[in-house]
Amino acid sequence: MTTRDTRQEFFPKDPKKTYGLMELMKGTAPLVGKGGPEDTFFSWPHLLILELLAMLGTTFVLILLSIYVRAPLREIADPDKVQLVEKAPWYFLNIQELLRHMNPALAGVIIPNIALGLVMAIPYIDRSNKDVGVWFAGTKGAKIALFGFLYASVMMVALVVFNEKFHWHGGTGVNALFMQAETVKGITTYVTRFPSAIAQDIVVGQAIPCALIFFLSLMLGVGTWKIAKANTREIIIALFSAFVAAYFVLMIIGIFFRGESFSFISPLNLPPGAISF
Amino acid sequence: MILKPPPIVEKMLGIVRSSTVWRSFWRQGYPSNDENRALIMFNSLFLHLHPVKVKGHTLKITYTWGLGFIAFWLFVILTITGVVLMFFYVPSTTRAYQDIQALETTIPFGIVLRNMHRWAAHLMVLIVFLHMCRVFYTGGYKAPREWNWVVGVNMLVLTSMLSFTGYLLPWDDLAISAIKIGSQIAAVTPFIGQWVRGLMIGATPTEEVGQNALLRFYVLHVMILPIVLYLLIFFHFWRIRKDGGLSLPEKTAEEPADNGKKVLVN
Ligand code: HEM
Repeated sequence: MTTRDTRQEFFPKDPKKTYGLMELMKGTAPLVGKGGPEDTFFSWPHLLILELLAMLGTTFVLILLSIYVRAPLREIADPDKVQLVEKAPWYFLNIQELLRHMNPALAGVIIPNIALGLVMAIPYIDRSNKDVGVWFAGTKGAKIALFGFLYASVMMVALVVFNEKFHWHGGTGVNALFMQAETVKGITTYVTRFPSAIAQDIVVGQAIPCALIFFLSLMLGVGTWKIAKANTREIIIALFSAFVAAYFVLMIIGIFFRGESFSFISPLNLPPGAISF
Repeated sequence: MILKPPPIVEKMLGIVRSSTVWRSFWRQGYPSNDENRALIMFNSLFLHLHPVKVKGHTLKITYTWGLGFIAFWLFVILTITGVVLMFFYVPSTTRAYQDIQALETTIPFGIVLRNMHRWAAHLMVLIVFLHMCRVFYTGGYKAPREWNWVVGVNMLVLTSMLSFTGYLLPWDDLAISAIKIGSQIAAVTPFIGQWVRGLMIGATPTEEVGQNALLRFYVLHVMILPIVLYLLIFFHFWRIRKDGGLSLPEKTAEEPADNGKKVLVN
């Protein structure tokens, strides 16, 4: 056995073992600062009992629902039949609602994909690790969330109602803003200002919707940043809440306020079969 | 008071529990002590998705609302009811509708089966969306969980696509309106619209909604999309483990720094 000066080495190697303690380092272990072992519970039974209850509860509610509420089955499909009400399933009615107001490629493909892309990008924009695990990142964030939600709800309702109910000089909605008088043989009529349908689509169907979405989002973002002195996380809370609000408000309009050929209608006058679950 | 089984029963149970067959299946005793509680989590295929121990914070109902788990469970129910439905359904424009009618009228509990599949599908779309909101508002997407968030968004898309492809299968008025609108939207995709529409509903770009569309939606609905979603779900779960379990608030201490401002010290 070789003799070693154990005063030189902090952790002398035990010759009978193939491993040894090399060094102690300062640093954070996965558990440091996260509640420590005293806050841990065995998955069996603490987590599994919750999962069991969730399974039983979900199954119970689903069976009750399925006993009492019948899934719809309309008449047999006939691709040539003209249908009074043509609606997508409810979770796509927000997109169908957008289609009413703008260029179809913009409403049906471009905006949904940009929205999904932005949602996916959230973790890469909000890089701070502060406020993880805290609902709304605190009371200020909760207020900002509520504000963003209400802001978008009001804007969406206002825009839809304007585009459907504002009539002027024979035009409706945004198109009404582009009517001009034309006098032929002493008779004045109002016609659209646009030289062609393409020009009209570029302005009313594309430029105005894009500008509106951009500026409404920008105002919300800059507003929470400058006025509420929000940080990145809180600005994103405002914008995400606005997205959720737009998603649900447009969907609810699509479900309950759209009747024959998707016309704007009071929920009290919905034709039969307009609600498509 | 705990009821004790009569000694003869206990003795028989003892024999069963010490038999080779029983112990080849249950490799540990009933998890009534910590060792067995740990062992059962390692030993069981289904349970080993879970860690042996979890943080108290993540067990709070008001933290997750169990939404992710409920979404998963609904998907399991959908798989089971869906497989049973497949026994009674032929994806043909001349048979599909009659098959659904027959299911509702002549097969015992057929109507409940169909209702369950339908309502679970709708519920799942809603629950997955709410789960996304829960994760967002608790900051659960932050490092190191960014990628699980990205995977999650794709799972939301897949869930809606699963629901949408199923919507066509009863081949009724509701189905045909939905698919018509869907194919109109596909057709206006910039540059590749006609191609996407053709891919979705027929072999030729001009084809109308018919047998080809029904068959495509059927294969997507019962094979491709469920397989992809299951793969993503298990990736999602595996990632939760790799990311150190569910997100937690950091325990931070506030200490005044030299400049008088408060800084966070870990
Ligand atoms: C089929 C759909 C989905 C299933 C079955 C599912 C399942 C789960 C489960 C069981 C959990 C554990 C905690 C909990 O229950 O909340 C979880 C956590 C998580 N999910 Fe999902 N999920 C789905 C969709 C999504 C979506 C759409 C997103 C986001 C866009 C997402 C992002 C996350 C993230 C980031 C976590 C970790 C959260 C944390 O650590 O606090 N998931 N998921």
